[in-house]
Amino acid sequence: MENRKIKDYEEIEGYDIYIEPQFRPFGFPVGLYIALKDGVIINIKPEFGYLTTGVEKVVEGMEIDKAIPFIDRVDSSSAISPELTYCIGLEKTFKIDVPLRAKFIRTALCELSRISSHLLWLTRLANVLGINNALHYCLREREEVLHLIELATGSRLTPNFIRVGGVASNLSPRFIEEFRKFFRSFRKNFNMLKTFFLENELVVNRLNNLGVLIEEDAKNLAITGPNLRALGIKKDVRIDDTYGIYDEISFKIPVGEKGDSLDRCIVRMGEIEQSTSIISQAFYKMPEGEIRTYTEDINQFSGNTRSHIECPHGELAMEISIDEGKITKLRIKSPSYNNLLAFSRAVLGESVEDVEVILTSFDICVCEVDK
Amino acid sequence: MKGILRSLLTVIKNTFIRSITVLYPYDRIIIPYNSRGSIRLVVDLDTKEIICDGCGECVNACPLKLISVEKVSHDKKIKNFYVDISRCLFCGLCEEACKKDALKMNFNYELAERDFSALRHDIDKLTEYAKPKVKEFWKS
Amino acid sequence: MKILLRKMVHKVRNFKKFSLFNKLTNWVKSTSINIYCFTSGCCGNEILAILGPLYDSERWGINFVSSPERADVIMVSGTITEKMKPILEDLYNSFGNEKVLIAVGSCAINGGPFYKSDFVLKGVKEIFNVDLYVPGCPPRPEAIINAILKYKDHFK
Repeated sequence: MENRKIKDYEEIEGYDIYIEPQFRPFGFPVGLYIALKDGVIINIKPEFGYLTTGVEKVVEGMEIDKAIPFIDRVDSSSAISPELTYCIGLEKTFKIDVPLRAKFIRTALCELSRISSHLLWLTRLANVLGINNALHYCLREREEVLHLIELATGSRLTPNFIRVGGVASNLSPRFIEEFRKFFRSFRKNFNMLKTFFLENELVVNRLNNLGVLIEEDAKNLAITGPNLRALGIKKDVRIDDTYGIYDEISFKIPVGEKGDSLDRCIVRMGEIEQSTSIISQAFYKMPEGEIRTYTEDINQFSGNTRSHIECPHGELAMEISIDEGKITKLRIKSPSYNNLLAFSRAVLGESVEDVEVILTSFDICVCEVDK
Repeated sequence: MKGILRSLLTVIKNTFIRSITVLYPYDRIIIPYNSRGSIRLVVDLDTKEIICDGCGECVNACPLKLISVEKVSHDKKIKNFYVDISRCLFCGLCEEACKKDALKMNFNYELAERDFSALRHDIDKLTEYAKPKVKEFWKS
Repeated sequence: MKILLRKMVHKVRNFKKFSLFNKLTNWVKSTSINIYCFTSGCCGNEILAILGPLYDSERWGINFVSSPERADVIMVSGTITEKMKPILEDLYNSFGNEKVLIAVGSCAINGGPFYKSDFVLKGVKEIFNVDLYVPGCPPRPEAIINAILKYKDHFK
């Protein structure tokens, strides 16, 4: 027991503090080496790799449909987005037409899981800041969203719902009934959550000017998603390179100004509002019809594909190569990895007490970092 | 100051609404009909026989090869049916592959066990739900 | 006098073995369970949901503590990699005398979907003695609460 700690201490010459990975509860194993000077952080080195499962290697040699439940486990907070990336890539090269109703169902479920992921992030932020009552209100809303996802797909976190050429099952009429009920109450409850975070002076003063990310660093580290939009740069895969039915739906992209923790909070709060409006538009325009096109010669396909979508953490990209219906190579580019590197730049010049707040404000999913 | 008072007001307001807590072991949350739990074998209610004839579609469909079937030779009946729950992904691909609807995902989610060997369900456990429940009081 | 003193000392030493005292401590332990949660991966999201208002774990006196010295139960969930193994061993050694371990999720039981991978341990049962297995990938919050309630019988 003691030998390991001494060994670690020798390894980190030049660093003062080591925060161990199990210190952070509820699925967040990242170790941090911190170097201090007069109580201010000069240098920080994140230690990751505690969750390396090797999905890319495990999936090799599998058939196309059987690999989908494994790809689910890449992202723990919104498992439907890696599925969608995988299926969109294969449909593009093999030229499989997706029915229009399936596209609408896909986007509706993607936005629902985006809301659930952002609400999970809010609960984590409330936990770190110490606002216990807001934590319970966030979890209440999240349970309702997860109930809707389970009603449509059959599972709370790992749906295994999207297939090549459509979706697995149709939406029941009860789902739409329950969604209307949820939609009425959610707007009211979400405004209540805003008063806890954005109108409360104690929270605003804590988050304001904390962990500012410079634009130069953001461009060098190639970060994407809400963390980039908090800087005021309008970049979103849903609009720049549209997929699905996002070109038929009108929605705004919330943008911050400075790139501090408060701006990241404002951008994610705005995204929750926008995704509720996207879902309601999608249900309003949703046509009747088939949900899946079956292709019988799926076992004879071979080729290389590349695809990218906007997942709740940023831009998720995949490279797949397939030989006679079996995966020979899979490569995943996850946004959380770049966000973790961006955190190590943004935290410089702050004090040690604020490290946890800044780390949670970046919304890092460790499953994605290590894969 | 104004914001703190407003957030306090919302807390006071919420103390008067109906509580949403479900008293779990006595009162259960309503689970959707398509929710995926442990696997069970469907039993025909009239003849009280298992529908499954051991074609092996689900064995091929499982991505981790957790299902194994023992067949009676020269007959369309199965001797035994094993599912390893300990490694199960609950993905539902076996249910999709079955063409006779002989396999269904159960609503049962209370699967905690003390023994590791009890996590491998055999045919008795998979059809346990259909057996008549006679209380021990009546037997004696 | 000496014989009486010796008897007294003997009684005090074996005080823990008294059935009434044992029953009392066990009753106290079963009504307030302190759990140290060792999470990695998506099972952590479901354990966080237990704290929420819908399931409300504190009805049962379930408390999540942040150091293993204060805990009655250690709950291991999620994938455990070779890099994580020495840290888990340290935690297990600093844990109290009565070691109770619950493995949550198929990754912790058996390696789960990634049992072929080189980086992943094939379950906690390879290193430690496991008292309860909770299958599911990830298990529902009710399943985890049900497992903790089953653990209560351990004391009775």
